[in-house]
Amino acid sequence: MTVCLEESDLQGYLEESGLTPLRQRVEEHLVFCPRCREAFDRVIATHQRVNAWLGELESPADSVAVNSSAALGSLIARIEAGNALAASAASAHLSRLLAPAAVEIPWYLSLYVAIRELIRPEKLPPLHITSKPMAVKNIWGLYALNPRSFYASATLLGSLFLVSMFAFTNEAVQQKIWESVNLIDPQITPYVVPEKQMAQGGGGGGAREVDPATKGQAPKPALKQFTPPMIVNEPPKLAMTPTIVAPPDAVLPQNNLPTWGDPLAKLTNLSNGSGSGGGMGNGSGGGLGSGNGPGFGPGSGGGIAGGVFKVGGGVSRPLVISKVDPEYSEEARKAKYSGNVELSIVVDVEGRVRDVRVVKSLGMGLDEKAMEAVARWKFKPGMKGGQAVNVQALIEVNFRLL
Amino acid sequence: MHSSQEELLLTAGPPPADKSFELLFLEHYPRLVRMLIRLVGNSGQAEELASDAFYRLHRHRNQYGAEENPAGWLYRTGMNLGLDALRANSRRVRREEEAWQSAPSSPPAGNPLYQLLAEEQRERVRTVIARLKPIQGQVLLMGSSGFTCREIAALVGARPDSLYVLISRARAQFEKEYVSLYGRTQ
Repeated sequence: MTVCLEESDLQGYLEESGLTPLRQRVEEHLVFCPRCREAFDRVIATHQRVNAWLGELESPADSVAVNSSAALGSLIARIEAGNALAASAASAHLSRLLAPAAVEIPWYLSLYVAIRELIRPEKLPPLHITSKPMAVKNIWGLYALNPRSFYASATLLGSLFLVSMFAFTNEAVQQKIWESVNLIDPQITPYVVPEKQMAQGGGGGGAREVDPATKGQAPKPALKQFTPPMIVNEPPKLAMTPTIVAPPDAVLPQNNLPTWGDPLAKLTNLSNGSGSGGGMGNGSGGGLGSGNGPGFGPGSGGGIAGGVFKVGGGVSRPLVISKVDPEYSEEARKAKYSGNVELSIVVDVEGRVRDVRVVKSLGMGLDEKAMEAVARWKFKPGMKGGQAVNVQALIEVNFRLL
Repeated sequence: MHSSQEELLLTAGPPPADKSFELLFLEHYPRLVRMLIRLVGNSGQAEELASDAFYRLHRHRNQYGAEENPAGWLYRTGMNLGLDALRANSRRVRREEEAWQSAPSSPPAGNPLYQLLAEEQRERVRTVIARLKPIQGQVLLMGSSGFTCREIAALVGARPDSLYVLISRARAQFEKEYVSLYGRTQ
């Protein structure tokens, strides 16, 4: 299969004359290649048209005789004149740069003159001053502080700042700016010394008796309970003072009754109460009161005053075992919004998270995202006296965009 | 204070035109003038431009291009000078000069209307050449001035097959420019 002709081949066929190898090859190829014939026709048409246009340039001026000898003579004269002009110009320039010979003196003479003028300077005639000094205008007078300019500049810059803050930011950020402005609380409350953090919780007990627990003296709080407070008919062989589980420094209501009992009860009927599991009251678990556990009062897990334990006072901090990173909400991502969400959670005895609530909100759907993520966290529960207890904790979730 | 060496340097300047330069001038000056007459349409101006091209060649004869291929450098410089003159001269001024030069001595032969139309057509062709690349205009003008392909290749410094491509594209570009300016009917 023969390769088709190129542009140079077709043009060469037109430019060359006679029987050249190129023309032979082109002619042989054009016989059987319609594609190249079509291209060749186009080249020929262009060739003829352009030649016709260029032929128009022939004019009577072409027949004017050219006198080369005269032109060469004038050119040589021009070259020589240019050389002479360049040489004279350079010579004049150099003569202006170099100092005259009379100016240059030997170095020893120059040194002698300099030393002589240093030792005995030449006395010059007195200077006659023909002008007098006069006061001129302060050049800084034009730039004195102008209050109008100051206020105009301050107004302009403030306007630019406000415009840049409110006009050139997206709606989500503008809304957030307004929200943050509204959240400012001008009232300043007096400083209150924070109370000492105490463990909270509760407990209850009872012996399934009909009457409610008797009123009596509350036992001592201790971190570990060996004997719950109960009214027994037979004195124990190994006597041991009953306790409830609470921080040792916990303050319980006291009275001077001779028997153990609930200090908040109404009756002194010598009953352990309708609860179960030992202790006194209508709860369960070896404590005092209506709660569940070895503590005092409503609540569970030991301690006093109801609620769950907080970290401190013998209650260890829950430790995170596995955590799930929160996702960014679409709205906050578009607004490039970042900040922290503070959550209050309760870690139960199995290390699961419950009772999640927002303490410090961030908005734009980030609070919900933080709650969803933290609810899936797993903890090693907080410990008290070697036992897992429900502990309240604060979690801070950070939202940052890279 | 001038030393003798400084004086020699100041007065030396470029050496006068040598024999080879004269031979080059006598060989190419008429052909360059013919080419430039077609470009600028004025014999006097064409001779001035050709002389200027030779003068520049003499001044820059030690440069790389001028030293390697002086004839090619000469025609390229002449072409550029002609294009500059073509762009600088207005059509009206040249026509007035021609009328002023030719009218007193020899009245125009033939039909003046035909001469005017022919001159207008020449102006069109020159306008199109001025819109091409200089090398394209140069090869077209050389081709129409009687240069053979071998001579053009030697002056341009190209191989024959490259020259054919150059000529082909110059013609195609010329036709494209001409048609865009004046239409195909011309």
